[in-house]
Amino acid sequence: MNGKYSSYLDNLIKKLSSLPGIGPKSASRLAFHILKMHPDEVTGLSRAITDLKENIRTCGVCGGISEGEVCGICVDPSRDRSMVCVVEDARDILIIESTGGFKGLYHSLNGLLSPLDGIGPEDLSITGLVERCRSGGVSEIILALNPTMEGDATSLYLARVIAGTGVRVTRIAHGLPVGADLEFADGATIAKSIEGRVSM
Amino acid sequence: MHVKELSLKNFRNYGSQEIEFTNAVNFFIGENGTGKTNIIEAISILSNIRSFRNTPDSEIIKWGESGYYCSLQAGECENKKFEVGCLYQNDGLKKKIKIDGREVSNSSEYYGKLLTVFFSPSDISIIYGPPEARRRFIDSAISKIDSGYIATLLDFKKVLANRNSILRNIREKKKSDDGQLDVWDGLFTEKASVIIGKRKAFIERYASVFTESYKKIMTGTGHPYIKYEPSIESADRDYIFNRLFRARRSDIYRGTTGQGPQRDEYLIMNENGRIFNHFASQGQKRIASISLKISENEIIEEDTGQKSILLIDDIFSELDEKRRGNMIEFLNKGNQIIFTMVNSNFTGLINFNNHRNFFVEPGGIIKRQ
Ligand SMILES: Nc1ncnc2c1ncn2[C@@H]1O[C@H](COP(=O)(O)OP(=O)(O)OP(=O)(O)O)[C@@H](O)[C@H]1O
Ligand SMILES: [Mg+2]
Ligand SMILES: [Zn+2]
Repeated sequence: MNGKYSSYLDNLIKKLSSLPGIGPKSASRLAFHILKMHPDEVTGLSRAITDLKENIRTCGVCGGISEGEVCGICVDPSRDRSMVCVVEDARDILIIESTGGFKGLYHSLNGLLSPLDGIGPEDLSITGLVERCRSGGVSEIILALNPTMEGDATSLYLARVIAGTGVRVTRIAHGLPVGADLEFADGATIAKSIEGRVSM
Repeated sequence: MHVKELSLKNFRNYGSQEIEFTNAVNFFIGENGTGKTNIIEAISILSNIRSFRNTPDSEIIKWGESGYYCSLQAGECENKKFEVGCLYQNDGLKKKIKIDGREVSNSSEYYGKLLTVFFSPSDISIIYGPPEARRRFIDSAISKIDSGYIATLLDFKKVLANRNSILRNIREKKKSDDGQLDVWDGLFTEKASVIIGKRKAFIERYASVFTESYKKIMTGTGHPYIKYEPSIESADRDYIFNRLFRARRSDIYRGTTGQGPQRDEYLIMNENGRIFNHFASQGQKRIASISLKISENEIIEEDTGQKSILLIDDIFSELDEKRRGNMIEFLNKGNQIIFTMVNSNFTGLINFNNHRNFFVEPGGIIKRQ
């Protein structure tokens, strides 16, 4: 297409295609779809997006998503506070929660060790995790990081750091096919792999 | 397995071409630039998806056309039909791959179904090229019989790159980081141990097959042998970890890892224990490079129980008549063979029985004789 068909349309397409997994083609399909939607629906959609951003922040304890200072999982009295499951980011908490197989607490590292990308221990939420181990009440740390080289390196690093606190460290193992990403594993597999965790 | 029939549409210099092969020896004879190698290229794309020439698909499409298509009918093979097509659509070049009419989206599903070995004039660089050329060749050979090997190798490369990154970081910031090095050295050790072990085991099998092949083609006395010289000699984990640990300071100083599988050598030595490549004649180097490929294939066939299709592109020029004869006799073990050669090299091969000749003429014309 030559020149601007509509600057409003161009703008939305540009914004949509900046999202992960959306190319210019699907972006324009979405934009035309939005154009056909009822005005109320469109307002609802844009409100949902701003609401999300305005009302959700990072939990001060686990690093997951939260509507208040501390998230619903961290304050839930029915959760087993002696077990903390360590994940790469908040999205993994959502994945594991959706299986319903884990009743303990979480800790999101907000990344993995990756010297190549300039990410070292100081860039991850490791001190927070060690503090949680030291503060008492935690008897087991379960590492649920993806089985990539970065995931493995991070697990090994954490095992050494936490060893100093006396807390037991285990890592999920069984059921997850080698190379499988948490995102693509089904709920039963994740639940089984937490159950069958091994000591590090 | 063998190719029964190959069909090309707008592939390189061919508009529309069908070729029926014999399941024994096929010769493609013609002048320079007539399209002999293009035939072999098509078969190898049908076997490996990608061209051995390492050119993009856009260059394979016949000039002025919007796509190419090639397909082949296979015999003595679990699958009967292989198809690869490439077509320009409004959002770019789209490639489609089918086996027995079913579209294959994951390329790993495609590999290893149609077994081909490609002999090329440039194989000789495995003999005289840098150590990396031999490492790449042996790694690819191992991965053809050991499906887990590639994954370990990729993991290792990643670990190595990360370790080097840490080393350079320490050097620049002048601040030690044993915590991280310990972890990556642990992973390095784990992967390196597997790689060294598998390379050792492979060369143990491969070395004798290689010398035997060379002997059969060259005849006479004085034959080269191949020797694995690992940078870290043992696959023992404690040994590897200690070697890394002791080298930490010098590794930091250089900003790179000075020992490990990435520095392994495969030496090809002559009968006097000298570097083969420094003394061998052009023809001897050619024979050694052919032997490397033949031996690789022999091991693959032993493990898979399948006979590969041999694609042999124009490697006769440096060989005398006796060696050409020896080579064909040696190769002729029931595999289908597809040879290309320029006219003048054809003399002396004509006596081979059970062969089919194709004369390739300018303009993409193939005449069967
Ligand atoms: N995309 C293309 N479209 C049309 N013609 C092409 C294309 N790519 C290559 N060619 C032509 O194909 C010919 C090269 O074919 P090929 O490499 O098979 O030759 P050959 O017979 O093996 O020659 P040699 O004996 O020199 O090795 C050249 O003439 C080249 O111009
Ligand atoms: Mg050629
Ligand atoms: Zn929380």
